[in-house]
Amino acid sequence: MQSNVFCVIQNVSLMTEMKKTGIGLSFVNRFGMKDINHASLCAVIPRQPVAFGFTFQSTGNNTLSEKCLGLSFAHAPFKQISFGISARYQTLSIRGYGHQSHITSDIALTSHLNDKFSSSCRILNLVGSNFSLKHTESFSRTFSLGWRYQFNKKVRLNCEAEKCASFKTNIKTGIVYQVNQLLRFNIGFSSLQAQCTFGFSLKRKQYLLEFATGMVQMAGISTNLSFSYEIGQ
Amino acid sequence: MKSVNKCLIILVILFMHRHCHAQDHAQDNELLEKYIENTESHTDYTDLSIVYENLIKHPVNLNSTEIGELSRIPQFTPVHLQALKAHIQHYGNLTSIYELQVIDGFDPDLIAAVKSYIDVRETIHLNQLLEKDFRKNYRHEIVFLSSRRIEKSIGYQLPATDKNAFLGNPFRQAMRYKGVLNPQISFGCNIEKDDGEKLKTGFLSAFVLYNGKGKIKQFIMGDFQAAFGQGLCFGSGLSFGKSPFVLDIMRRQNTSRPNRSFNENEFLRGISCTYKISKHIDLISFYSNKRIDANVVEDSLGITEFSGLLNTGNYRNSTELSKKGQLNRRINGSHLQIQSGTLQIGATAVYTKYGSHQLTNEKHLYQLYNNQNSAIQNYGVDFKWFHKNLLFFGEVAMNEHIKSLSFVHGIIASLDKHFDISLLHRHYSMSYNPSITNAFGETQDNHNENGLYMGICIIPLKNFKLNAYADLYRFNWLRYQVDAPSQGRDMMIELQYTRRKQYSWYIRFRSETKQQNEPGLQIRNRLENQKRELFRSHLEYKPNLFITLKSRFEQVWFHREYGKTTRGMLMMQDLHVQVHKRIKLITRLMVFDAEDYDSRVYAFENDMLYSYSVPAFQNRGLRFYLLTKYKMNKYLYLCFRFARTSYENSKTIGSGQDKIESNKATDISIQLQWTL
Repeated sequence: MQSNVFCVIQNVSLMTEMKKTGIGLSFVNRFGMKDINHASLCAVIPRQPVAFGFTFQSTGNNTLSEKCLGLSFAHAPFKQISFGISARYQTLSIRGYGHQSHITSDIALTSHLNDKFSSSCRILNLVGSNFSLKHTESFSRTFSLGWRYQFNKKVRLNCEAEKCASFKTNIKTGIVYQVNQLLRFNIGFSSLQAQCTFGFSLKRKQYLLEFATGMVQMAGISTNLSFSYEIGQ
Repeated sequence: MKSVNKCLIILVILFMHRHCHAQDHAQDNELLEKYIENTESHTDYTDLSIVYENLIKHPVNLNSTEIGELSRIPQFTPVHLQALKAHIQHYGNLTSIYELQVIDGFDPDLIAAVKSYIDVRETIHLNQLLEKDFRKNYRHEIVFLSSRRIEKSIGYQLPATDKNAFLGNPFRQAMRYKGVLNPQISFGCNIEKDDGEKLKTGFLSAFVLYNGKGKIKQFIMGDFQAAFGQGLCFGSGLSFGKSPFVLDIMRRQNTSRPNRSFNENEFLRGISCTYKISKHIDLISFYSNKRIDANVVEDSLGITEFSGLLNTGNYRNSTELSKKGQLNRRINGSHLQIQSGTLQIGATAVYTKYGSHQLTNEKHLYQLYNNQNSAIQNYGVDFKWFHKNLLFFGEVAMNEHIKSLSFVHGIIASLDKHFDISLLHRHYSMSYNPSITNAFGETQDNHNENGLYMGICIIPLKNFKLNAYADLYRFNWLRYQVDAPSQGRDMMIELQYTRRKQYSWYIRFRSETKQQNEPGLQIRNRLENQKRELFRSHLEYKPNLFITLKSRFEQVWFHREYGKTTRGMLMMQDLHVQVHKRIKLITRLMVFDAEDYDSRVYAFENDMLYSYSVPAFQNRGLRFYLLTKYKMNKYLYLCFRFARTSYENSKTIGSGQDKIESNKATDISIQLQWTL
């Protein structure tokens, strides 16, 4: 169960685990509200022991939108360790108020303690970029520590503690169950209810289709659909 | 037959040698971290690092059969000592430290952990060895340190006429020198100017040490520390209480040693002499006469009184300078020590006289039993006895009246090679007035406390280790901010998993409940239970010889019986890289979020040579530091440290004259060590 192309968004250091060049498209609808839809396009080009990544993300609508263009680089200097860095150009537009752009960066470090167990650290928005015109407000930094344990070929456990400056610590746990080469189930629990999800993925040759859904009683259902393709046999 | 066995053992050692890994300073740091993480953040740990430095420079001789010598190694339990003794009796003296691997209970991990602190040598040849090393030991070491905080605090911005205005510049500058003339004679001095102080008000400390081979075993002139028995009758210098080393509850220091700390008050100044009466009997006598910082006031009748001792060591403004050296403290004492095989007995008598001032009459009820005289007499008897797999220790101490009788006694037992236990009972009378003590306890003043401590260390499975302790204690009289007799309990459980020295993971849960006055102004104070709980997950990974990674997640909860619960958390990632054989980089990135002072979080930090720190963090922010160690050549060692804390929910840092009008605090330090 190796990482897929969306690691360029989730944990950039895991790009070095990819064997083939991949591209992916993801679409998220939150609580059935089209105004806060999120779409992302990403690509990873692995060149062992390094890997390069590209992302484009878009959120919102004509009134309020946020777009982000990112370039990523990951390197595995040793078999057990990999690190990655992303630079992102982000634009926030509000109709009638103009727009504000800034550059921010993410870093991640992953260590593979053995074949089954690995640990990661990730910091999003390391430089704490300002987004207001008066430079009085900044995007929150997010610091995460995560652990991944592969029980056997079929079951994997992921745990993550995530601290965003603006929120309480979010503890996340996910279980991945690989039924067969085609089908895989995912279930995730989080101390933030909105992030509890259930999903499945279908993999056929170089194609991977993933679907996940989560529900908050007061707000409704969120769905996530993604598609990725690996180039080459 | 014995010689055949010996040959077999040597062959086994050669075969197993590869399992033992070299110890680096990172391991020492791990050890220190576990000891000091429960102590206050402003403590000067130089003394501790000197103790470990001494252990490295003067390793414990495993062929020694003296309990005082062998028990210097914190990781050795009675079962280790017993197995070692039995092995030496059966096969003769050890020929290499790796021979430990064939002794029951000594695994490669333990040997790797203590490797730097142990040695094997023929005790009968010690003097010859010293003679031989006469030239080799000629050595001088000088360390310069300069550091400052970039952001200036309010104290520097006040007009010079203000009594709170800092008189000096914001640099902290220090110099430490140690010269070893030969194995017998060494000397040293420490000079320090704190940030905000003027150079002339700085700190100067010096010593001359003589280690003799004849009747005078040791002679110290200048500044020194002295600790005897369990530190109940007398014990100066740094000591630790409860820690994840649940078996390490016995005080190991039983002598005088030169003071090399930058702590400006907590040491003795005078002379100390260890006289060898016979092969098994030593007499240590000391005399100290030193001015210490205190609040001294004159009452309406013109009588000067002192109300409290101060230990900040800061003389930055006229207010702080007015308290410098206000009180003369004279201490003289003696300790007689009898060593017979595995039994060690000591007797201590100490007389302390505080200048010509009177002590303040009690203003508060909780001070009712405090000493009202300017002189204190302390007497104590202590023992250590190592029998089979048991180690007994204890001390009884009192002032001149029997009501003050206090004691501490304990046992460390290895019930099985996978199961060790420690027990300690203490009764510190509320009438007992110690001079300087550092005995085991919940509080540091060693009076008005009863308690029972129990610790266990279990190895349930290969690679797993479980440490746990429980400490129940009671204060029979009132204490500061506790207006009734109170009680508390402290419990900790830690599960460790270590795999071939490559990675280790531990999770720890600690819960401590204490009683204290309910906060806020009340007509009549009532006690409330305050519980502090901590959960920690710590992972350390060494993929190769050059890189070490550490990650930690910690959560703290502080519950008040009549108030709200507050939370604190910490997450951090460390990266240690040996980029070149001469250069090492240590860096950390950490986030913290603590709602208030009670839910603050602590994190051990690597600092310059001979210094460590455990800063406390509250509010919400990010901490980063980079420490670079560069060994320029055989003689010069350079360290540089950059540290920055930025707060996200606070626009100022600190309070009073230390307040900084910024949400960032940046510290830079540079240190140069020159060894000849």
